[in-house]
Amino acid sequence: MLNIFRSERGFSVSGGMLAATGVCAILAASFVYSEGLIRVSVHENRPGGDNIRFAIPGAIVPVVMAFVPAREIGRHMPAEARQHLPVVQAALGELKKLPDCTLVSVEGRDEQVRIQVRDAQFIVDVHDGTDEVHLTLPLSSVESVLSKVTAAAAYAGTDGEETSHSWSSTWRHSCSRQAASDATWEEDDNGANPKEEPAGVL
Amino acid sequence: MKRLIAVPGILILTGSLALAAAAPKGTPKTSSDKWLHVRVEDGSGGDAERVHVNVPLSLAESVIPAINVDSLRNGKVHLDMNGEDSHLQDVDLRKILTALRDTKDGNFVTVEGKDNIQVAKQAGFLIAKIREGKEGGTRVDAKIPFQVVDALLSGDTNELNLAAAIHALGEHGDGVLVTVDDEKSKVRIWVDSKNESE
Repeated sequence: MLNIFRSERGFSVSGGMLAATGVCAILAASFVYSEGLIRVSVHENRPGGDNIRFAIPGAIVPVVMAFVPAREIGRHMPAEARQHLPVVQAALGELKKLPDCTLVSVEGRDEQVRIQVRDAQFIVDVHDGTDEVHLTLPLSSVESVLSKVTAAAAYAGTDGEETSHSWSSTWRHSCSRQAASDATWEEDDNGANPKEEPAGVL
Repeated sequence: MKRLIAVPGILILTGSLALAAAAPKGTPKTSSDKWLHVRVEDGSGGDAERVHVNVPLSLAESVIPAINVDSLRNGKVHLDMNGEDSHLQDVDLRKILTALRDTKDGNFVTVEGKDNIQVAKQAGFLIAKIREGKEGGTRVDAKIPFQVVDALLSGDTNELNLAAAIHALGEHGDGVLVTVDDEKSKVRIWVDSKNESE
């Protein structure tokens, strides 16, 4: 019976499991390290000022985003945000290709602003004499959020007041006033019966 | 004996996987791409404010076509010939450009008076110089490659092809495009292959 747990060559099951756990731990740690940390630090240098500081592993962002329903994000997404998504996507695609660099640097007597890309992280440092804000965003985390928001954009304006506003603004560009009015009615009708969730979107 | 081989094997495999996971992702660095740099210095001494902007042209080239706001659509600026840009209605910029391109190098416009203005063509560049007459007045120097101007005017008559102009700028060599100097401030716009301004 004990032979099941102990091979003839001297490897025990518990030893094997321990080794496997160790390997998994090293791989997990490497993955977390590679995904970077999201750091936010806000320090208001005045009496009673806020002092916020936190850091979370970027690796958990895709996991968290998987649990956020795209439909809910889409329903609350303003039309302007949807309009600017392609710009952010294009910018992110190029930012990922950049070597370490400083994109913007402002140095004044009482203020310093620096926007950089370092080690595939987007870093913003602002110091305006009294307050300090530091933000570090791993680009891979931003990409995870963006892909979710892009998926959510399919649901933008699928309820109530938002529906009428966003579809109206979309149609305003291409249709006459009368046609737009009809189209809005049709789309509102669709909005009352939300679209099927696309495959692969949570 | 097998254990002696297996243990280091597992360690090497684990180490390799860990390093592969930790390695930076994405495509190879594109440091050879051109960068547009803007440097503004306002004021002097301790009160001076310095702004440095470094934009990879590839970023601008990708982002600009995605911006659809007001008159900028699909990388092109649409001129309202019946509205605020109506003053351009009677000027055929393309014909002027063709004429300039086909002529020899030289000065085309020289205005001497309170302010001095000079527009010239030199070695494939359109050059403009403006000097304010008064002491410490503004000095503007612009040196734009003809290829860029060509690309800018490559769209329809009522549009400026900004995306094409940026692409042409990237194809062109390094150089200073615009400098503005006056008593209080300095502006310099240039293109080179460095990702940090000097």
